[in-house]
Amino acid sequence: MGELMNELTEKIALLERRVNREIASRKQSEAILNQKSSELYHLNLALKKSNQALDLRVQERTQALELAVKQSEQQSAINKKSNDRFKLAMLASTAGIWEKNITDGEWFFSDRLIHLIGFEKEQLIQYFEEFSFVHPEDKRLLRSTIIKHIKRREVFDVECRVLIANGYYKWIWVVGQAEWDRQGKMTRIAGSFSDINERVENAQMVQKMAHFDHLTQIPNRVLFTEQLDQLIHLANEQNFVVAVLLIDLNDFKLINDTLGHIVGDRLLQYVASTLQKSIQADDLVARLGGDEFAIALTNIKDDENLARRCCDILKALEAPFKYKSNNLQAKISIGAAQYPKHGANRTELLSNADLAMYKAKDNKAKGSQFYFCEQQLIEQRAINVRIGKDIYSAIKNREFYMQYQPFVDLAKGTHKMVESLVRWKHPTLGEMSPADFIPIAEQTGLIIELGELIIEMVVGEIPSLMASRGLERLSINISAGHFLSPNFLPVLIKHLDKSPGAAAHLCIEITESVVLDNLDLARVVIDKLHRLGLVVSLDDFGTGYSSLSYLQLLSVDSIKLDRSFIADLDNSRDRRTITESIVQLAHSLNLYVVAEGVENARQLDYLIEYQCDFIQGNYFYKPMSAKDLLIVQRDSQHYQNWGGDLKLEQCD
Amino acid sequence: MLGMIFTELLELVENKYGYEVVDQLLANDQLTSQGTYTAIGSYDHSELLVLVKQLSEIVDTPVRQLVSEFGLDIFVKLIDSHPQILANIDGSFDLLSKIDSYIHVEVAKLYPAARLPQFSFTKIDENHIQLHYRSERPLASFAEGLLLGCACFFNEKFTINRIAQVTNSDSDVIFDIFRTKLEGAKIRTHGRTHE
Repeated sequence: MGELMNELTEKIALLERRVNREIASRKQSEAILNQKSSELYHLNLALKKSNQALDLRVQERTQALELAVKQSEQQSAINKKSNDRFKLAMLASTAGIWEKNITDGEWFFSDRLIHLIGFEKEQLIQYFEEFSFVHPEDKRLLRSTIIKHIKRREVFDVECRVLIANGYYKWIWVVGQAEWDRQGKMTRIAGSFSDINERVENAQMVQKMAHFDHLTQIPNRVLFTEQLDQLIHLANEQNFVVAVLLIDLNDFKLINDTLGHIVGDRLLQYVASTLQKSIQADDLVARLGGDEFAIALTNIKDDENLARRCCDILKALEAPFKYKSNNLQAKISIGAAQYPKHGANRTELLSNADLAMYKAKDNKAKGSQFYFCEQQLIEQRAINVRIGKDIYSAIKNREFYMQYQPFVDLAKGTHKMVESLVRWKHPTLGEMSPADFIPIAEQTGLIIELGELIIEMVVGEIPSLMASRGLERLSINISAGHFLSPNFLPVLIKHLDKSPGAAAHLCIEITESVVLDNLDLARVVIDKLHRLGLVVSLDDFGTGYSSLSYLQLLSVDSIKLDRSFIADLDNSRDRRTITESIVQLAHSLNLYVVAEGVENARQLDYLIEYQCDFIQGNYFYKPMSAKDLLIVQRDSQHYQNWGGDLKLEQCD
Repeated sequence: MLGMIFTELLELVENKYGYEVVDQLLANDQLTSQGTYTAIGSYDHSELLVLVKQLSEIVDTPVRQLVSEFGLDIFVKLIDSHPQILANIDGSFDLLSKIDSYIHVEVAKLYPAARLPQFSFTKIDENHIQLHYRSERPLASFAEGLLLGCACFFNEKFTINRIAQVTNSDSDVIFDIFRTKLEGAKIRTHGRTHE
């Protein structure tokens, strides 16, 4: 029993330990489970937060994605539009597009480019790769342009000629730009071809028109000026002589007037072509304008060499020029100036060649001439320039004064007409000859102002001079330029208005050059003078062209035989015959004839014989002051009052 | 170490030797946990060694034999607890080849704090493999028991030779395994039988 009790006690103890262990295990499990539950709870919370954060992030990302998709769609639309525009622009553009992808060697050419050049793509690729369709003269420029582009990476453009399928070259404006990657390696090059053929050809034509004479197709003044400057520069560097020749056709105006402008133009073309053939490769020839040409000769050894070159030119023009029924010979005057001795620059050379040319023209009656510039000519011009300036101040200072030389009426012995002659007492040079200062006044244009001063002085003298009985008319010499100037008549009328009745006592003496300058205008002016009561006389008749038809056309009232005729009366039978014929012709036209420059009795006798109306010359009266003229008139009246015949008395 | 190993061991001991033996084992004052185990707890692996060693003494059976005997039952229990492991497994060697790459990956997900041993699998031929066991804990014998349980589960017999990498090591061992397929026997599982 006790054993059983022990056994039971042990069993109970065992069970108790087991129960205790189970309880401990359960509590431990519960504690663990609680802890796990708490962990799970917190984990769950964290998970929720994480999920919320994730949701937020997903939402943000979704929005960002939607925005990106939207932007992408918009960009795509923009790109499409841009692409469409580009395609449209390519279609509409006159430029052809080319492109090379350097990475894969692929070429692209737009349809326009293929149409422009006319070759197939494969052929074009070869041409582009080798530049073989670029004009040989333009290849270097194109290559250097592209090399420069590679260095500077700025858009390049170049104008060059490109061979097109029809076998001709066309002017193309090539524009291009390459692209490089970050390593500096070229990846792509693209650009355009624009057809500028018409523009370039037009520009070339304009260039030609600007630099070449339309009529003769030789260089004009502009090109000659440029080329001469370059030639002088070269001559200075290489130490050689350049001769500038100014060439003027003699009496070209007469040819134009008599044979017509077409003949004149053909003659100019002939001269231009002949001059061009008679120069050497390095020489220049140009038409400066009108009938004026210029040549620049290089490598002139000496004056003799230059003379030979000038002779060659004259000889080349000796051959007659035939045009239709006309057989003409071009007569020219050449003036030559050499660099460096006659001028350091173009302006001086041309100016000095011009001087020489006018010198040559002085002898144009002998035919074609050439004349070399001389130092004396240059110096003379310097003097003339100075005198020209002095004339200007002399007009302002009224240094000019008038003298008067009577005409003697051969039939009556009276001197009712007087020629007024201008005189100038230069402040330092003393009395100047009109033969010296009148041409300078004409060259400088001061002749108009001088002429107006003369009109003022003479018209102003008319009342006092006409108060002397017996005097009927005063004549004034008016140069051609002044006579045809717009101010001539208004200024004359203005002064005549100050002296009522003066017009009836005035005679205007003009020369034949008036006729040559403008016949129609001259007739109009003469007509107006007649209406004012003036008479007009043609001075120096017999020199120049002396076309007798002018006498009728101009309706002048009298002519003055040139003094050269009178001087030769003694020696030349022909002159006498001509003089007599002119007097008869003038009388048949109801014109009076005045003979000027009568120096001796023999001349007077001939003129009496030919029934010349008036004579003028030192044989009777030298030019005199107004005061002396009045004395002469008073004496003349004295003779007449005493009833004596007026004797033709020789001047002292 | 997972508490489930301890509770399963104690349940097996109770089934085989009675609760008195369990009581003796748990009364050992070397046990830090004082003999209180729950399947969801985690305990020092040394306690398992203490328990097995003491059991060996009580029932007078070598430790290796004991763990081998328990191996099969524990293996079956483990498989029973996680039957999804068997999905896509084709035989014992296939299962052993996937311990590191599949089974322990899944275990680590369930028990993040678990410190798992490594099993490097080398196939010699169809029925011969080498499995290299490396662990922080000297539980090679327990592992061997599980291997035997695995063989039994798949109706096979493993002949296992131990090649200790370190002399007398129980934590770094290569198991050289020859497989023999058995005929007519059934696969055992916890509380069930598989045909």
